[in-house]
Amino acid sequence: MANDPTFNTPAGQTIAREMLIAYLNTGSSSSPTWSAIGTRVENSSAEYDWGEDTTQDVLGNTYSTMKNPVITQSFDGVKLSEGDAAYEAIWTKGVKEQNPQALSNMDVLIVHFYAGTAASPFAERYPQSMVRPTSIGGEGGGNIEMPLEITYGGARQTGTASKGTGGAITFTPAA
Amino acid sequence: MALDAESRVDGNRDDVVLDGGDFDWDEGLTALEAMREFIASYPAFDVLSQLDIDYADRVPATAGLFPSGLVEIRRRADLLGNVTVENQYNFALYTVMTKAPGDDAGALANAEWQMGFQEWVQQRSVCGAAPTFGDEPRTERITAQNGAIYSADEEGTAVYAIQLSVTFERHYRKG
Repeated sequence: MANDPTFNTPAGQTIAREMLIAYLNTGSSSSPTWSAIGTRVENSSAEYDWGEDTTQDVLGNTYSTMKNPVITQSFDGVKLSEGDAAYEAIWTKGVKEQNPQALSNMDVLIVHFYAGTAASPFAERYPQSMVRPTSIGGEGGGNIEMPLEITYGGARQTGTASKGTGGAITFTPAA
Repeated sequence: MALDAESRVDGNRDDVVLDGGDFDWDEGLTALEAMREFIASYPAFDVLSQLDIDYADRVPATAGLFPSGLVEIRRRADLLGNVTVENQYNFALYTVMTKAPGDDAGALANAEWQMGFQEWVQQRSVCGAAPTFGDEPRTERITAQNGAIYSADEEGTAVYAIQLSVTFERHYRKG
């Protein structure tokens, strides 16, 4: 069975980290504005918790079960900066308003630019994700940092993304 | 030579206002020109008649600024592919002053000039009143250190050397 989608990067080369980007919807549900998360963050990975369970019967056979993954991603070293729409939106809901309902229903899109076609890469939308600032502060003389943690949630939609002029991202759900 | 109050070394800097105002320099200057202009703005610089680049005559009351290039200290990328480079410019400032053998008063005055200059550079840098070279002016640092006599001759001329460093960041945004 052929893989679908396949990777669109040059054969034999590793894939740059910047081809996997999470976006926060800073617009509305019906008219999203996708703002990239991760400016000035140098290392972050989505962690998959499969809820795996492994048992062994009396005959010595091993059986394993898994659940749909709970995906969490930490962004350490987030430095607040003017003009970063994603950080500003999270700061507003988290620090200013302390609005748990809004923070646990954030619309997040993950675009895998390396998969599918270069013009329409694979993307997955998690419309009810929990995005929480875990702290805010930093050392004297340094920068204000607001590390984040995202738990991707809601009815997952897969599809493709496209990048328009000026870098605007559009998500198209799979039919 | 006597140092005025602004350039004299004092033990207590609690009264120094950090918002010391910008160093007023022409934005069109190159880094080297800006550095030369900055050095020449040292209040006690008027004891010197000229400041050459890459040249130091053994004539008293002259100085030479010797750039030794750019050092890339660190390069890092964020999740979006934006790159931040931490750079350092290094310079050596040679000043030629009068110091006859056994002239303790002259030696003291010269040494005070050197120490006063280093303290002044530090103060200007801490106050944000030094020229900036990168994209994150708040984190930039100019240091002047290791000022010491470099050579002295029997004709009453001494050469002093001070190491200057400028640390700054450049930001390259992913298109």
